[in-house]
Amino acid sequence: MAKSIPFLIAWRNLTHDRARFIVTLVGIAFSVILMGMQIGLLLNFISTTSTIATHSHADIFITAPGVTSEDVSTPQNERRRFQALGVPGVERAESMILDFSQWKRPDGVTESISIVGVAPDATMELPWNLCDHADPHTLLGQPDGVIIDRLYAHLLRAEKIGQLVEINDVRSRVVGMTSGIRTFTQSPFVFTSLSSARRMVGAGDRHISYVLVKVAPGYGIEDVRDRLQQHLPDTHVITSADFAASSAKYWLFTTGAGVSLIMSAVLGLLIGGVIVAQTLYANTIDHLPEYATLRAMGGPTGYLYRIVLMQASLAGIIGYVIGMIVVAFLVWSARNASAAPEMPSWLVAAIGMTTLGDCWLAAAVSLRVVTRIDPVRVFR
Amino acid sequence: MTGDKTMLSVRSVAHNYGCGETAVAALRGIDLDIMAGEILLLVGPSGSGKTTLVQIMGCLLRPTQGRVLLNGNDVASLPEARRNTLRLENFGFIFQSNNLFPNLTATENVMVALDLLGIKGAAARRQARDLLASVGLGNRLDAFPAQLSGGQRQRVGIARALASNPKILLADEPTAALDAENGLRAMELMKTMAHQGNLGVVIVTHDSRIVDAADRTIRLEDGRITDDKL
Repeated sequence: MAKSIPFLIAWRNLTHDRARFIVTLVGIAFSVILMGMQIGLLLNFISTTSTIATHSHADIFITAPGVTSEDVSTPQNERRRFQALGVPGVERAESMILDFSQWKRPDGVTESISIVGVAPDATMELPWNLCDHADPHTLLGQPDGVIIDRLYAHLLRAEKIGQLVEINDVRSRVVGMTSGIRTFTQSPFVFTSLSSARRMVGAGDRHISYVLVKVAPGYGIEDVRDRLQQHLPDTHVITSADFAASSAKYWLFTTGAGVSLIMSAVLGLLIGGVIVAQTLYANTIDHLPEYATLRAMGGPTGYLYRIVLMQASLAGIIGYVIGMIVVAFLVWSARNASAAPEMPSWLVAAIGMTTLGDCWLAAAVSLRVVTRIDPVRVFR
Repeated sequence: MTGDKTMLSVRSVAHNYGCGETAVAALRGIDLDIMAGEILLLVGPSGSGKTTLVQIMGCLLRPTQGRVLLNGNDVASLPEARRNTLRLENFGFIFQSNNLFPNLTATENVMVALDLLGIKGAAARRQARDLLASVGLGNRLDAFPAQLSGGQRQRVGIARALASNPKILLADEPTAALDAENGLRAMELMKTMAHQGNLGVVIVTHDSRIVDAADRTIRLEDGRITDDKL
């Protein structure tokens, strides 16, 4: 393959010192791994903190006042659901319980769980990702039946369908399993019917956590939300998207965990940038006589810029590929963990662009040096 | 062997390094014409202004005073980008330490000059190989500078300087790092190229061994021409 002369100069200058080249690649790859894993975990963090709001298929949530995160609910009376049904634009309104409870394992150990109670005829797609294409209505219709996720089956020591378990002194039976429903609080979601849920969390007959609202066709979600808020002034009416965002924000910024993940990703970016900048600068200084010769021969500044930027791009691309191979392996390895980094294609592309941009930015110092080269130095 | 066409003229050129009371005069009113096909040696003691004069002639340095006429046009006051283009299109440079790219082969080193002129790919490679063959390096095309002798490296430098088909060749101590035999071979090569290509060649040197190969020798002392003989 015919390579351009600037490419040849860039590639050979970059790879001539093998040790320095390897250190550069390790630095960039490390930066990519750090960014990939931290942002991947952040995405997982965001999606698990808002998983119910995101997957419910409801348009609007009615919560008790002051509720900002789906995991931290406040009880309200089920008559809110009937009141909501009377508001124009509301097609369906369903009750839901989301509350913590205790799961007693066969070995006597107690684990904290999040009970999700919905009516057996609920249509808002809870639970989802059921294994073996099981029908959620049939499963939730079984008395004291519970559905758990495979990821947590071992933790709960309930690895078989039909296994009897004890939840808050209520005898229950595992009737189904889901796949990949992770929880942020590390208290696994346990889906059951509304009535069972009330007993499992020790609540009264009219106790619910949320009313899930589906807006009728032809009505705007925001309009219906405003109407509901007017009609139910002692509640908090919020769209599902806003509730998901609010839940993610709550955990991201009140716990500091999210900030820590973001800081790590930024740190990765800085480390990569500094390493590339240092390498390119040292490389440029080493090859100043060659750049001066090019200038003396009449090479325009742009030609010299191309060489430096090609070096930055080559280092960035190779380091990125190495880093992403490691990230892909780590993501694959963690696919069954309770906190599995997410790596959507847009993030793969975004990390690539960021790495390349970081390398170009790092090249700025070297470009400054190249701009100031005096061609007269070739005679010294 | 010189033509009657003036390639480059230097008129009343003076140059100072620094300014005010600390200024050092490197050149003091130089007048000089470089003719096509002429080999001109610039000799003189260290600090006499030889290299400064070559830098000014090659559009690498602006004179403090005076004019530099290339094909009749004053180039001393042109913007830097224009002077850069003029350098590319009109001058070939040969350096004492040859200044080859250590990570490029002999062919690729010559291709750099062609690439700057927009000649790329197979055409550039073919032209570079022809040039190297013409300086006797047809069998060392893919050698890196470190694999070449000093004389061979200087010949690659000459081939690279000639690649842009320059009108004027400016050489700074081209034989200083070579032994007598290689020095004379390099000198003969430049002479042949100058006469065949009708180039104006200016060589700065301390090397008395090559004086006989020149068409004209100019002696500089303290920034002034003290001798000009054919």
